Amino acid sequence: MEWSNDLIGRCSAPKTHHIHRGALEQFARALELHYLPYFDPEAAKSAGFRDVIAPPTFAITLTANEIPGLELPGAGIIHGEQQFSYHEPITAGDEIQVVQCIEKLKARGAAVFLTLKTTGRNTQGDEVFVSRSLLIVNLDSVSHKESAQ
Amino acid sequence: MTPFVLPSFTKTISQEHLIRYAAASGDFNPIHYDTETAKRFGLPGVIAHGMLSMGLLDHLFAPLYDQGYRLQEISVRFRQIIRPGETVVFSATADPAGKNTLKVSLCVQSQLANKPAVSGQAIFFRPDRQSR
Repeated sequence: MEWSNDLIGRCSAPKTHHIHRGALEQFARALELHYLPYFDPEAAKSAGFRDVIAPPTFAITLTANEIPGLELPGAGIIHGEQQFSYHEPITAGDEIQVVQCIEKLKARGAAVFLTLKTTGRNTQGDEVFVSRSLLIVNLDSVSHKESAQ
Repeated sequence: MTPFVLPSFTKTISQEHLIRYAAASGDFNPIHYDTETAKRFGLPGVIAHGMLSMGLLDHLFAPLYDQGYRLQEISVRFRQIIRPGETVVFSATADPAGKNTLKVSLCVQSQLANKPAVSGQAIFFRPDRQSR
């Protein structure tokens, strides 16, 4: 594909995710986390939350629709950096609409540095979280030195 | 106010961690479970998901959550691969910035390595009681 600056600012169509307690619990258990508001609705409420909440990195699982014109190779991508910022925790029962946009794109030699910004909003349209992933795409398909982490 | 160290912890990353994380996150890239595929991409073998290391950092934050802090932002840089079987140290130092804010520097380092696999920072905010 053509890695031109025209791609900057392009966004996916919105995609809605329903947040289920079970998915939050499975994610927290995979990380062997013990903080009770990830599992127990009563503990979550006494900590000031509406229901059980998601661990901070759970937002990575809320995948977006494809960005038109962006074709990421299946391999040869390095996840270089990751950032999440939260207005409030993702909470069971939420409906979160995610939109992913190409925020930055820089070609350097055989590599493309791509920053994808994903914004999650609740049904009122308020921003819940913003996630930024820096992906390094290796255009030299012959030498796959590394792949996505 | 002076910086303080959060209780660190050590974890040996197992194949089971990788498989359970793949299932929970939906990240089924074969480099995290198939040795042949991993080698084809120039890796020494199966590697842990970067997001698994980042996710495990949350163990460090439990004492802050218990004090009423909430995570506002976390950002990391993935610097080195981690392979299953490696024993990894997760550590953090908190630096108070203003009355209700903490800036926390983060480090994930394999015991075999001389530099961090993951470094980063997190910002925590403690809302006043009446607004919680």
